Amino acid sequence: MHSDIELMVQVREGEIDKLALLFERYKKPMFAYFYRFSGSRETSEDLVQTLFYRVLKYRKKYSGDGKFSTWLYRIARNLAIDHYHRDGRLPWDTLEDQPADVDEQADRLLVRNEEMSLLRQAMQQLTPQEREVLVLSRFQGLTYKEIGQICDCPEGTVKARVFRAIQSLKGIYSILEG
Amino acid sequence: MRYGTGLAMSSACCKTAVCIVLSISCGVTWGQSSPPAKKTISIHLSQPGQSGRLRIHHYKGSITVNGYDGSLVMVTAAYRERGAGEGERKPGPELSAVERNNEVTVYSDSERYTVDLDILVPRNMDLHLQTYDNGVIEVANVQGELEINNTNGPVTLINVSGAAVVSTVDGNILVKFAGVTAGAPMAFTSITGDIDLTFPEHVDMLLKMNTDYGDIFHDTRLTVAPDKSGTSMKIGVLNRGGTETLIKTLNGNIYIR
Amino acid sequence: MKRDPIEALVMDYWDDATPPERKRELKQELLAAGYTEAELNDLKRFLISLDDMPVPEPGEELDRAFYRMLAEETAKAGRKTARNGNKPALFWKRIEQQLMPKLGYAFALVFLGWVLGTWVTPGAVGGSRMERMAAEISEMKEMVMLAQLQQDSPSERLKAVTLAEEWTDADAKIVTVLMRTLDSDPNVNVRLATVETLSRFTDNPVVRRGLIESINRQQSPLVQLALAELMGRLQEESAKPELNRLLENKELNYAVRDRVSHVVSML
Repeated sequence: MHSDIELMVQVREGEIDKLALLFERYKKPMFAYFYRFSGSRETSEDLVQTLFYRVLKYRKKYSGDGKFSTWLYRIARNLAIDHYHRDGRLPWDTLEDQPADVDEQADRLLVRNEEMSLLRQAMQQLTPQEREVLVLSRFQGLTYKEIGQICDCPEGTVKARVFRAIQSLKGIYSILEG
Repeated sequence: MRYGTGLAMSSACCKTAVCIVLSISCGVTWGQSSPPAKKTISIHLSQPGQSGRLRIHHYKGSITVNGYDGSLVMVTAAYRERGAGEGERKPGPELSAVERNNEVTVYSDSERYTVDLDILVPRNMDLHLQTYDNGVIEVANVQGELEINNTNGPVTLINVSGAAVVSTVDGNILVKFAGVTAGAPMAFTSITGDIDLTFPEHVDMLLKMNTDYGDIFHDTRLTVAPDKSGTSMKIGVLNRGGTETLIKTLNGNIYIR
Repeated sequence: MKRDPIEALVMDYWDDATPPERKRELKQELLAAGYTEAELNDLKRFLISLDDMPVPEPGEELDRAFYRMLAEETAKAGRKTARNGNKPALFWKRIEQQLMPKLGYAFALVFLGWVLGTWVTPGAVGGSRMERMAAEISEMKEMVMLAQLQQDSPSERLKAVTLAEEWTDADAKIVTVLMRTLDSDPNVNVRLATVETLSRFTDNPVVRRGLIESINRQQSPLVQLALAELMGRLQEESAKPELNRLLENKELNYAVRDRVSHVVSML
């Protein structure tokens, strides 16, 4: 089994089909990343597809230093920002498809289901900056240091942002809950 | 005991590995008396573990295909009881197979005699099966694209997933899906047969249904409305709708479960 | 109350990896800054509850799009490094072999058409830009459809035939291709779906004539039936001779015979 870095170096050196292995490793977490932001399955799939296209496009710029996932998240983040600027609105402003299969799990407890639905709504109302750090730290399991590298800011700032995001989210959630 | 020699000649020039399967007979009874002789051959796939394809153009007799956990394709052929008007036949059926790039084609003498085929395949297999007379087609536990035609008999597919395109003239079609490929259109058509389809709970489909003399039965999951564009089709939507599936029979009933 | 610099400390305070003595220090600092213990615990519980938020899995469309992109890029890079024993590689190899030459051809044709179009009609450039784009798109769709019709998979061919259903009108090339599919596709259900699609274009006399002529070329009772029923629906009297010829066929399925006789009697 090759490491991410080895694979990406091979892609850079022209073995483009190796990207398939990286895609298989990262498609789910990256989809989850975009989904936490957007709440839209379709947007998230589009963004994952574009993400890997950009990886190919910028493959020559891959230095091989540091974690591959940090590099990938940096591209993903820029992608989300580009998307935001182009559309003039957040790609994740819409709150459409709440997937049936996922809801089914939650269905076991109707109350739980409702809570989740409220949480999802609350998530959508955070600022992109708040949402970003929350998603990266809590859901994608990145360290504050990694997030700092991705967002180009000091670790302390990341931590502070995460805390503020949680405060906001809790506040919004309480309001929605009534 | 050589089978499929002609095929060996025609494909020998191909660059890709072509495997002509000489019959490896298990339990062949060459004696003249009953029970009818059986013959079994096994076929190795050139890319084991990859999805493959099985292609059979059968004439008289049944085809039974079962997915199993092995990697070989195992085909057993047996003559049915000799029918009236059938001449003297060989002690056992003729059976051969060609494998190329994971595609297996099976040949037998079913054009002259009624031959039943019993086949085991790796689970990940596309099937293209066809028979005309005297038989049923039964498939179980296979995942892939299923293209099935049985002119004068039924088609039964149990615990299959993928996409199916099935047609009969006089036989019933019964399909129980374990899963369907999103975005792959399907079709189930018959003249006199019933069409009975069971889909997994959360599948998204758009069903275009039509029966002239039969009825459509379905549970509450399905909402059915007439087609707006003026055809005699009924449109049924499962969950969020999606890729079109054509279901058409003249005399039979349609069941959606 | 100036909280900002202190907020970062909360995350360390919550972090299980932080040593107990440091935690105690942090707690003092946080309480001094105005946070209460209850507030912090509350927020931590809330944070943990977020982990239960479900996320769906990406669909197959993503895989398809990615591998299509990868095949294109690989073709562009001019490398052929298919490896055995690895599914994605096999998959793109298959795409490359089957679809890419056709798509490449399709793109080339569209481009050629575009170049010719701008070159031949320089005067009409500005106003007809939208039309030209629409034409390009429809041409692309045609090419995709033609490529799909060549596929081994009947499901892919069904997709191609139903794709054409969405078009409001079909040009001569598409009609010819659909007619050929109707007469010669190896799968009954694909031919049947082609009848459905062609029934949308029956305003075109070529289509009508083609459908009538096809009646006696069909071996499958299902397709014979579909064509006869369509003739009935269209009240197409000129189909009578062909339908009568079909009834003379001794091998005609009895159920189809019934239905065809009925249609003929209604015309």
